[in-house]
Amino acid sequence: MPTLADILASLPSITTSTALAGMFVTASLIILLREWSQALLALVLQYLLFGWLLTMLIPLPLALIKSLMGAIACVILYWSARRIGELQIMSSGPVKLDEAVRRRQAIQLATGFSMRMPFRVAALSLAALATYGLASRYPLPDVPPVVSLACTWLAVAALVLLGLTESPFRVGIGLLTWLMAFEMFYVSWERSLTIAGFLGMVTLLVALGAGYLISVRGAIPPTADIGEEA
Amino acid sequence: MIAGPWVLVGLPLVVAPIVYLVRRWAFLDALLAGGTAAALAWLCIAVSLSKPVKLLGWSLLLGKSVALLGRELAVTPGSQMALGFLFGLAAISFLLAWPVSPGRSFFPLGLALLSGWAAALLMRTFAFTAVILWLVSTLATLVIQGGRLASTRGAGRQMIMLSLAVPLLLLSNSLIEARAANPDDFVQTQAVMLLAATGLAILFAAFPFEGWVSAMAADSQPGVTALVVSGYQVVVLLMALDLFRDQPWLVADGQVLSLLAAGGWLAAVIGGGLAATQRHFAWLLGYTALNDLGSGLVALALGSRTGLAIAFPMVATRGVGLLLAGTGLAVIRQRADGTSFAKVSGLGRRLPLATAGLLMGGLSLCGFPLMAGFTLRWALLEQVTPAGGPWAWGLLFSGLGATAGWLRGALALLAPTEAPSPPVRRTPLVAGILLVVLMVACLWLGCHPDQLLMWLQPLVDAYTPFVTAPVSSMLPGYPFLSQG
Repeated sequence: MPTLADILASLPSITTSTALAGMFVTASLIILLREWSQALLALVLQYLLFGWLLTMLIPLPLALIKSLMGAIACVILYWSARRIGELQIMSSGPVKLDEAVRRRQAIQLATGFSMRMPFRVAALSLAALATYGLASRYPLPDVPPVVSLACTWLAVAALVLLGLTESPFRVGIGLLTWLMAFEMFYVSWERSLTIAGFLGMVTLLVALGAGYLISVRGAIPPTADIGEEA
Repeated sequence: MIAGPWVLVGLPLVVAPIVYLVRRWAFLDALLAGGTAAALAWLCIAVSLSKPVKLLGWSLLLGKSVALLGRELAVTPGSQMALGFLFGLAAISFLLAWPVSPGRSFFPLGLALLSGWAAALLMRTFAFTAVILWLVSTLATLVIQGGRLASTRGAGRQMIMLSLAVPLLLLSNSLIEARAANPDDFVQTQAVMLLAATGLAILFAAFPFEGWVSAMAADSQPGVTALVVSGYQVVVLLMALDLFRDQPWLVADGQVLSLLAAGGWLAAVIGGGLAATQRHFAWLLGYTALNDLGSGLVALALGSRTGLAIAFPMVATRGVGLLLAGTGLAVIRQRADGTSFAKVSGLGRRLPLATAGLLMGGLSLCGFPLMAGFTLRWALLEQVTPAGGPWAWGLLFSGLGATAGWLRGALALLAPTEAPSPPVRRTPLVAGILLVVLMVACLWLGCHPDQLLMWLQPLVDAYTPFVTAPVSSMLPGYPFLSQG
């Protein structure tokens, strides 16, 4: 029976360049898509590609564990975001139009973007340009060029995502993307398993923290003037 | 024989689940958490590192090092003092939290934070200290939000900024290790400096990364702000100084310190300027804390022994000021259901103790005469004056701006009310007693700063080797700030 390593080795069609291109697509989708579940699916795919690229740098089992940690983080975010929707449905019944709008806003505040698509497209274009400039002028040392480009792209995409919104869901995805970029570069420098374990814990805690804030944010009535709450 | 680090790191973690189980009884919670923190503070302050002591039939040696996950944990004279302050601050913070209910998770998670900070301070490896700080800060998100169905901006921004900063420091640490093989590599050296300076600037809330501190102060319960800001600042300060001491070349040419000084100065100016215009006490406290943090960073970046002698006590006076103002504000916030000047108008006459605490704490953070922070601010002004007028004037006016903000707040609190207002519950007894104790401490530190300096002298001595250049060679690196 073939091992997992054999199966992976027999997939010549998925080259590292394909994985890199996949990362460009997934991170772009995360920035562009408004629907939270679609963005989360893109993040899961991104973690798979992340694991794939990691196999170039670290042993396969370790790369798998790191991908698995990311997948668990995605599940935490999924539960939290879905819980808001369930809460809204539980309190449903025949609702008036303004009430329906209010509920939609509650979900939007916790999971969505506040800016429109053209602005997000412009931000994405700038991110791509910045990545090109940075990766060509300052390639990361001691990692293959494809990994260097992937790290730079993920870091820039994460910063764009964190700058675009304060919704806890998007912030969580942005931080996980930032962690991915960092870990991909850092594993070639730091071989300590303890540090790797700690970074896995950080991934889970970031997801838990974001999940907690999603729940809180989703439960706030959007009519509340939270800016003046202090 | 039990080694000290096990007790300092382990005891809060052991007590935390118990505290969680009895979370319905806030008084018991506060007593357990506060008692644990107070006992550990006593251990750090009163017990010698080298002499074993008997505690409940067990023999304990505080200075005995232990290995955890293959890394050494040891209590040094510097970390012993820092932990004593941290646990003491936490003990008061827990006891003060009981009457103002900052959320049921505050006590167990607060103990977990303490354990994490203690582990970070005792860890002798930079990378581990940084990662533990990261873990603790992510956990702090839950404490900062505290279950309140309100803005998540402060908790979120704290998590973002810490998660951005620590990877930069970890990368700089790896590059430092790689640099040992090729110390003449100019590009790598510059990269290390840039990464370390940016990471530290974020952690110290220097400009342009200062926004998260004020947002956190505005959105969290004031007592929580005091504990989180003070606690994590102690860890960051010692972590930075350890880095500078171990890698003296990092600060030898003054570039990193100049960046930190400029960032701190700008944060102080922005904090002071914005504090002057606030109409909410929560934001006012946040911007005043930012002003104080910025000033503290300038003191650290002076790179002189005097700078250290100012920076260390500032952490202590900041803790007292934040705790005092935070407790007063928490009591007022509970009664007024908000902290805007309009909502608290006239409450000063009905809650005199809480009002006095709030104003004294705020004014202490501004460096107002007779308050705990005054002498240190004055000493800092004296130190930066040789570097050029803008440095001194900027810090002076930012302090005055923050003071103006607090005086406006005082006018609102003490404003006469025309219409008969509903009765307000008085300040809880425990909070009242602790407020009085803190007010006395604030005034005493303002009148006797030498005592604090004397107590912190070993800490200054421990880190003096990092000092590389006098103040005047550090600060004028920025032409836009120097007089030429």
